[in-house]
Amino acid sequence: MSHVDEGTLHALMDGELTAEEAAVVRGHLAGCTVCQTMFDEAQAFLAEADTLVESLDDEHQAPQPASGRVTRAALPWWRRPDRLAVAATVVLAAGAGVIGIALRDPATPRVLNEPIASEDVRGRAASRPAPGDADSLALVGGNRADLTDDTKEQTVVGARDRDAAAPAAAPALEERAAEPESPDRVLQAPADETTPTEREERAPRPQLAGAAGNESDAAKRANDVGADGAGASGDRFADAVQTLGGSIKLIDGRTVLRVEREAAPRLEGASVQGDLVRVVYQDEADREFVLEELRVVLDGLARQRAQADDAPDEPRAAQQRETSLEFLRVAANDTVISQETDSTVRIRWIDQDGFLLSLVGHDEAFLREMMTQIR
Amino acid sequence: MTTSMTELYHQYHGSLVRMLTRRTGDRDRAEDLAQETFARAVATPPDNPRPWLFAVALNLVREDGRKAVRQGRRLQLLKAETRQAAPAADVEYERRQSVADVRAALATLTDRDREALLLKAEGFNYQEIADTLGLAKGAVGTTLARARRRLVEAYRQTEEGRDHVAR
Repeated sequence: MSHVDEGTLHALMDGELTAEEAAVVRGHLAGCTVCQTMFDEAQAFLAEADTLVESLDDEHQAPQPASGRVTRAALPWWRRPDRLAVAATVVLAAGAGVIGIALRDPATPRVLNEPIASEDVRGRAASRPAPGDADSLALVGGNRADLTDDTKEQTVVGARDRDAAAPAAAPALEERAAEPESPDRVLQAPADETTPTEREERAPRPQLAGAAGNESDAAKRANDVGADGAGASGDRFADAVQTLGGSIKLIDGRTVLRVEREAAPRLEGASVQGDLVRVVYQDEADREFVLEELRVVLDGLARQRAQADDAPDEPRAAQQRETSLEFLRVAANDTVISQETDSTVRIRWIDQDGFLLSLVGHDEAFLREMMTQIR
Repeated sequence: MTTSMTELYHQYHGSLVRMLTRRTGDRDRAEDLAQETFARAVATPPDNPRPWLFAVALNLVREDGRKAVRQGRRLQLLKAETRQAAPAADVEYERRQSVADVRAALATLTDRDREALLLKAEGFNYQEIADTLGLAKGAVGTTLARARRRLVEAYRQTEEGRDHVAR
């Protein structure tokens, strides 16, 4: 046998040779000092190379500064939300677990309110599903602003600008349009004794009917559905509350210009029970800023629950929630701040309840203040 | 599909981030790239997931290098959790210096050699490395042999150069 080549020696060390091949090579090494020397050297290279590669991990094990760490990433995940939301949804969908209103702290209820143009919005607990239902409601990130760069310039100030442009207003929303509510009336979602699944089944979701397609489809759908912004009403606000599972988060003491609902991006493995809800406010400079919330419900949830083993739901829900947050790379209470191309700022976070919230406006400091207030 | 995607995530996410971190030297970027990789896997579920995931991730590394230049937008992630105190400055300096030397040595390798090495470090067998990098399986041993040797020799040269300067 001629000398053994270096690649074969590495294949031997890596266990990639068959037993017969290895026996032949080892037999050769035993009688060939040249190859044995090369083999010894190769072993040293392999061991040292492995050590060097592993040492690269030290670079990232250094503790971080004590607080206020700011990291910058090159590939912002919100720019591809529909895909990420799909991914996160699928991750979630694999188990019976969920994020949802179940996780909301009863002591800090997600709050209520107000129809259009009230100067005095006060927090009040809205009705919520019974505890037994709560774990069947899920949230996954992703909203209209996340669709594509092409749609981004339309995302910030709401539906007003789209009224003329969008020909196909959502029928269901038109049907629900009604007389404006009294400005000082505080709304709560109507009491609902049904389970979330039942509500999902009966809830009209025209925007999502037959939904299938790519990013541009989702973007178009969002625009179409958002086209009825001028018809905001109390009923519509109640719908918005309902779509978020019984309550909606508002900011005390701020003027609510309008509440909008828009179709969320298409999500595989999940049904969007509620649309994206956008509450448009006015800041001190009379500029608009927006608070968005989104929630989706998993497909096949009832089936999954029926098939679930005897393990308690709560740990599984917690595990699934952790997975989804990990996938999105945003843990509870992390804050993601993005500079948009239209000079607006988006602050996004996942609250302790597992809901994705997003503030969009022009003044980051002001938005941070609002975020603190909401939290 | 949903179950398998969850399994894929649990099975490979950590390994993928580690490989990408080693490859890019940037943990945040690595996590972004891994995230994008899984997002693509959801859109196009792969038949042979591990080579597929790592091949997509490595392609993204190359694409990202170009895209990052064009991309003006930035993301700030304000982590909520508190961090531990930093280690002593001299220890930290030595550690960083050593890692920088390894990274410099790794940079002397060709993309193919470097990636084969990093995939092997993630437990890939030769067939998986071949599938991921588009190599013939028979060429993987030679590729790894060359990669290991070059990495070690480049690192030793750097260390020797520093010792020489120090004296």
